[in-house]
Amino acid sequence: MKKQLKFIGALFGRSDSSAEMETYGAPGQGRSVHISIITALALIVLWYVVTDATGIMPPLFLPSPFAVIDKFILTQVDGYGGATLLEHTAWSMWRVFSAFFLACATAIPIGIMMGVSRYVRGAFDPPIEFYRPIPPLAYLPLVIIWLGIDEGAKILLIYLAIFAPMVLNARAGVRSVAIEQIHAAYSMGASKWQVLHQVILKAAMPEILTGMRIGIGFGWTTLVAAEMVAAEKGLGFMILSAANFLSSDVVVMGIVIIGVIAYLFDLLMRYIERLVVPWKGKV
Amino acid sequence: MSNLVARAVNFVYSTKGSEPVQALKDVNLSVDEGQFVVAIGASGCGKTTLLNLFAGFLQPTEGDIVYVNDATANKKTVPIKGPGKDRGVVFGEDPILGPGSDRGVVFQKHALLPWLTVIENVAFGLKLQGKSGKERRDIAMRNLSLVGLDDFIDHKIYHLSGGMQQRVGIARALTSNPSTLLMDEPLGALDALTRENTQELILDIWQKTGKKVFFITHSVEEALFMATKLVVMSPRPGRITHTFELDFCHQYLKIKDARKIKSDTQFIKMRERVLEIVYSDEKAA
Repeated sequence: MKKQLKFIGALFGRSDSSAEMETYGAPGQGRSVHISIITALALIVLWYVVTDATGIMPPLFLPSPFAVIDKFILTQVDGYGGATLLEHTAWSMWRVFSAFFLACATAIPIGIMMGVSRYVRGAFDPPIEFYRPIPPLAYLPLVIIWLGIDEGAKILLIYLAIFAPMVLNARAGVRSVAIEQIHAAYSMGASKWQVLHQVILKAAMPEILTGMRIGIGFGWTTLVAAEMVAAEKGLGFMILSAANFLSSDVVVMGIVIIGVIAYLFDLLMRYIERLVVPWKGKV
Repeated sequence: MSNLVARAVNFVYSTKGSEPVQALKDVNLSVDEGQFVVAIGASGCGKTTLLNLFAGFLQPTEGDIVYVNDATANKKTVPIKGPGKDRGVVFGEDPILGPGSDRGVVFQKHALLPWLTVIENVAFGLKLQGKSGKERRDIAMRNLSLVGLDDFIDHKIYHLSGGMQQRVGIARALTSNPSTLLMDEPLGALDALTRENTQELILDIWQKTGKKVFFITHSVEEALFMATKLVVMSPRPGRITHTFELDFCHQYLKIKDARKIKSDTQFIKMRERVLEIVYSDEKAA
C-alpha cells in the first residue's frame, strides 16, 4: 500500500533533491529527472514504432529517427542549400544570442526603472503592452521596410520578441521587494541609491533571471519568422526551404536542433539561477 | 540624552477613491531614556503606524515626532558663547524627518536580506556607512554574540529557524549603535517556548545596552512582562486609552526567573485587567 502511494507521489514529482517524497507532504516533492529521461526515451521509441517499425506514418508525414540521423550526418558534410549544418546553426545562434544580449542590456534596466519610477513606468507601459501581444509575423513587413533585408531586420524582430517579457519580469522583480527590507535599509542609514542597488536590484534578481529564461524562449520561437525573408543561412531558412521541397527529414532535423539548443541553454540558465539566487523560493 | 516624543500626533491615511482613515488621533507618547515602552491593542489601533512614525517611514499629518534633549545634561560643562544648535529656535528639540541609524528597527517579518550570510546581514549598515572590513566584522561579531549566534555567522539566512532569524534581526538593529530600538511585534511568529526565551534575551540586551525601546505586541502577558511603561491603544480612531507604569521587567532582571514573575498574583491580576480592556475593544470592533 505504502509503495503504491509512493508511486503516486512520484508521478507528481518535481526536481528537488533535498526533499524526498512524503506520503502526505506537499504535492510535487522529490526528484523527477529519471521520469523525464524515461519520457524522452519513450517518445523516441514511439517515434520509431510509428515510422520504421510499422510504417503507420509515411516518411513524407514523419520521417523515421534513423532517416533524420542519416540526414544529420549528411548535412554536416554536404550541407543543405549551400551551407553546412554547422553554418546554419551558427548563423541562427548568432542572431538569437545577439538579440538576447541586446535585450538584456536594454530590457533589464528599463524594467527596473519602470519598477522604481512612476514616470518611466507611465512612459513605457503603453507601447510595451500595445506591441507585446502582436505576432512578430504581423510587423515583420514593417521591420523589413524600415531596416531592409539585412541582419539588422532579423535581429530586431527577435529582439522585440525577447524585450517585452524581460521588461515585465524585471519590473515585477522590483515590485516583489518586501517593504520591510527597504525600510530596514533606510533605518540603517542607506541612501536612496544604496537602497536601489544593494536591496532592490538584488531582490529582483530571481525574477530578472526568470525573464531571461522566458525571453530566450521567445527568441527561438521567432527565429523562423526572422529568417523567412532574404536569409541564405540559418536553421529557420533551412526548415522553410526544405518544406518547399517536401524534405520532411530536414524539417524534423531543424526542429530537433532548435529544440535541443534551446533546452541546453535553459539548463544552463537554471544552473546559473542556482548559483546566483540560491535563496529563490526559500524565503 | 534625549527622549523620543510623539506630540499631539494625528495621522490620516488618505487613498484616492475611498474615505480617509484616521489611524491616529491626538497621540502623546514619550519614550524616555532607559524606558521600555510597550504598545498593545486590538488590530487596527494604529500601533504599527505609530512605530512607523517614530522610525521616520511616515510623517505625521499633524503634530510632531521629535527628540527632546535633556537640557540639564550638557549645559553646565559647555560654556555658551553665542547662539548654537543646542539652543535652536525649537529649544532642545530635533525633529525626526526620516529614517536614520539612530533608531534601529526590528520587523515582524525578519526582513533580512537572503543573499547575505548572517554576519553580512548584521554588518550591512556598517558597509553602507563605508566602515572597513575588520571594523564591520568586529562590531557584527559583538552583536551576534549578544544574541547568542556566534556559531552561525556564516550560515545562510534561509537555513535558520524563525527564532534565530529574529535574533539576527535584533543584532542587525543594534549594529549602528542606535539610541532607540523600535520593535514591531518581533516575536509574533515564534512558537511559545522560543518566544519566552527571546523575551528574556531582549530584556537582557536592554539592560546591557541601556537603549530605550518602543515595542509592539499582541500578547498581554508579553507586554506586562517587558514594559516599564505600557500603553493600551484603541481603534477607530487609533488612540492611547490607558497608560500603566510597570516594574515586572526589573523584577525579572533581578531574579532571572520569568515563570515566577509571570505566575505572581500581582502579575495575573494586572494581566486580567489589561485583557479586559483589550477584549472590550476587540468586541466593539
